[in-house]
Amino acid sequence: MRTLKLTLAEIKKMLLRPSLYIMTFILVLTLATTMFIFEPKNSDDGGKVTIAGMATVGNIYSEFTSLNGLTTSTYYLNMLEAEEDNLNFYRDINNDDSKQLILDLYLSGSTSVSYLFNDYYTNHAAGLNAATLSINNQRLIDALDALRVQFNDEVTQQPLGILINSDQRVGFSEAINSTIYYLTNLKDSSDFSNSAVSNMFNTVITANYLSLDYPYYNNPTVAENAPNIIINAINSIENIKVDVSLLNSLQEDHIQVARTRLDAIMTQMSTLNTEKSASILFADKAEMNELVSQYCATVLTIERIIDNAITLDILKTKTDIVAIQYESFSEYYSYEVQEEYTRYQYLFDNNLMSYNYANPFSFLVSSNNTRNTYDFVYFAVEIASVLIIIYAIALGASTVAGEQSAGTIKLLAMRPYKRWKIMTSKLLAVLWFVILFIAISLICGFIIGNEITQGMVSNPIIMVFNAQTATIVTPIELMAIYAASVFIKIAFYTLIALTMSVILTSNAAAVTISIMFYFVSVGLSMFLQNSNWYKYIPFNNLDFYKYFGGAFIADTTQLTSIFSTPMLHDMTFSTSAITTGATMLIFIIATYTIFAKKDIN
Amino acid sequence: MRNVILISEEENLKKPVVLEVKNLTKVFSNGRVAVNNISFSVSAGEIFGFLGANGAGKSTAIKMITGLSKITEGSVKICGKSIKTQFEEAIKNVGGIVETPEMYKHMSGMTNLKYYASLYSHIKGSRIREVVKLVGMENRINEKVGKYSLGMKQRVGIAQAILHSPKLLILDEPTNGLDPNGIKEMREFLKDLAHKENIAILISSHILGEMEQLCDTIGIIDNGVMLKINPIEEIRKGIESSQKIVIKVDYPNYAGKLIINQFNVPVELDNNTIIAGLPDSSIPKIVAFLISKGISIYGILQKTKSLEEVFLEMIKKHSAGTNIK
Repeated sequence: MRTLKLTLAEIKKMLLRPSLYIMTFILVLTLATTMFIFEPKNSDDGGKVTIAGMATVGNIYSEFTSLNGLTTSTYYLNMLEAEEDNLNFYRDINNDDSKQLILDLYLSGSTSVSYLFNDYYTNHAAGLNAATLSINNQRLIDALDALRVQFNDEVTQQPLGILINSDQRVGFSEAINSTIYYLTNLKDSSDFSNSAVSNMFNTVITANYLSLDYPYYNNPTVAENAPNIIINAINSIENIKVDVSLLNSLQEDHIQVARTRLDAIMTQMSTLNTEKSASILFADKAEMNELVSQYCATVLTIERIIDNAITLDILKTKTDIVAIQYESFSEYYSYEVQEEYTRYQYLFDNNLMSYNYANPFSFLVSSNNTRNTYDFVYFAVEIASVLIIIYAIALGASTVAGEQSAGTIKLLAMRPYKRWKIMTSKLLAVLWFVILFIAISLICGFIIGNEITQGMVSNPIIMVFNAQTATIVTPIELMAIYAASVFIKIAFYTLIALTMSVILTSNAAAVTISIMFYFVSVGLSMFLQNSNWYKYIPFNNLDFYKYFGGAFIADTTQLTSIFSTPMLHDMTFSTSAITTGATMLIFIIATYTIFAKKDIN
Repeated sequence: MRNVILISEEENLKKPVVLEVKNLTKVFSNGRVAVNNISFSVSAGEIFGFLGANGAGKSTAIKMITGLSKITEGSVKICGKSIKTQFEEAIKNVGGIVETPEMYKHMSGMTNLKYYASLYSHIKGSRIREVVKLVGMENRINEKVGKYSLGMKQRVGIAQAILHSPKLLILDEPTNGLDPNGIKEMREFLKDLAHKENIAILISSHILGEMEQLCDTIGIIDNGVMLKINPIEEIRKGIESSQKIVIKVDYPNYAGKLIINQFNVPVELDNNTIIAGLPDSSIPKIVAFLISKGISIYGILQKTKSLEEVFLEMIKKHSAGTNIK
């Protein structure tokens, strides 16, 4: 195709730019210096629990089967029983509406209510004197008293009252009592600023309140209405229901299966113990420890499965935005929970042990328990991609706007190529160099990574696509997916640069605006995290590799997480693909149309 | 003379039309009509000159012809192919420079030429070298374009324009920045291209002397309108027929009346000179006549209407015409 010929000519032109080679140098230098800030923590075992420091195989066995301690089989069996109790609990509350108060210990509090009380004492503290104080106090006291009575009634009258953690119940009652004590003993407004008091308020509120009505915050009549507000809110607490078939499946397909497996493992352990109890050989002890790890991993896997399954079911009718207003779920991302759930389901269904499989995209927590080359490559390329984006923007802008301001576009436009072919050749040429730079980054990453880590040793990786499908992949396959995702992201910003160039003509303006757009979009993506619009904004949807696993390990203390965006608010691979694709299409159409119709001066 | 003109007209009729422009119009988004209904044609081997002041619309017209600007109305056909609907086929026959010849500064002249050559099929290295030699840039062609003088850029500009052996060459102010020697070389070079290689050339300029020496046909543009299209010979004839004699005398009024009565020609007065619309050949007669009437003569000049005056008159006539409307 003649467009290809034109593209090749554009590439040759770009190869003669000195800036290309300066960029390569800077890129490699940056990649080299990233090794000094690469601090991967070796992960904890991910389920591997071994008993160390025991002299013989028999010692390990008896240690593990003893009744005491946090690494004994009893401990894990108790964990399993607790999960069973959980299932029964939810089965029971499905049938009885009056458990609202108890349930609210799980679904508790809303930040708006703490605003209610904060507002109360903030707005009124200045004008309060002792007399007014006591009147307002009294109302609050009455309300809290009513609350306490109600709570105690509920708790003591129901047989399931014993399910409440006794510490929690005691703490709650104490909180109410202390609050009333403080209220009756406060003499003047300065006492209201005591943060201990506000904490007390918050504890009371936390246990009971569910409200999504933010107008309370600035309502001047809140003081008068406070008691009614509390009581109404308590009455409006939601019912929890968990799907019964899910509960049954968790019981039969998971807990019972797990028990069977645990019995089998225990049998193996006891056989091994019988045969080699006195052995001090490393190999034998390792074999016993492996069985210990399998035992524990099985239970921990079940725990994750049940926990996540129930959470997902409880919140299945709520979008993330709504769910995060519940205090227990203030950092709930359904995608992450679903991803973790799928992962552990896969492990359990295939009877795999989680500690044998690495997590994808988890640099700073390495992907196979010891830091390896792939972790470094991911880390390095993530940083390099910032540089590549900036250079791609500059290259894209200069090849369109630059040629316009330099005037060289005139001679090019007089060649036998329609305008769209000229634009295509420039776009492809820039993208070619993007691919080249990504390749350079990968290669340098591999070379440096090999030098500073334990090399390319890695467990197979469990990749969960779109939180729904789990497969086992090799690290190389994962790196390929990652590279493709980085390419799409960079192509996105390149396209914007081309569109700006075609509109603005000035090289400097196009470059400046496009780069500013990039940095602003990075900032905005953090700023907009609680917005309903988050998932509709194109640049929040660019990190496609996040849909291939690793979402539930997202850790905001990581250095480069500021450049990556979390899976928030009901985002899926399809929504991201459509948003990104549609946006890119719009930019492409705009660029081509404007360039075709333009008068060249 | 007349016979010669007839013959060359006949020959011109036989040559194919390379560029055909009909009713070409450009209206900008602010409503300004930059080019208003221009029509003309250029045949193979013909050098056509666009003549007009700065801002008359020459560059705008050329940009439309080369596809750089969108055509508001009208048609442009090159070797029969429309620039609007058959752009690639039309433009492949065209080479040229629009305004200043900008090339890639970070590349050498040769690299620039190689780049342009690569956009066509079948341009061999020998052709590139041939073209470099033709424009006289063998010594400096491997230096970066950023270091070239304007004249050198013009030369390489011409080189890239003829590289693919186009049938139509379009040059916007080609002698811009050249020294007198360079201008002469360029003129001879272009004439060779047209008359020996049979290439049609469209040149635009505001330098009348250049156009008069170079072009076969001149089209005058003023305010976007094509005033007149003349073969160069007609213009020259017009100039010839505008000869005047300027005589410095002591009694200009009296002398003037005498000449009007005697020779029946218009006379202008300017201070102490009289200007009579008579050819050179009449000088002896006038001198004798005035002396015989007792007029003292202090100086005699021949005055031919310059090309400049001819054109400015034409333009003034046109502006006056449009003002009346």
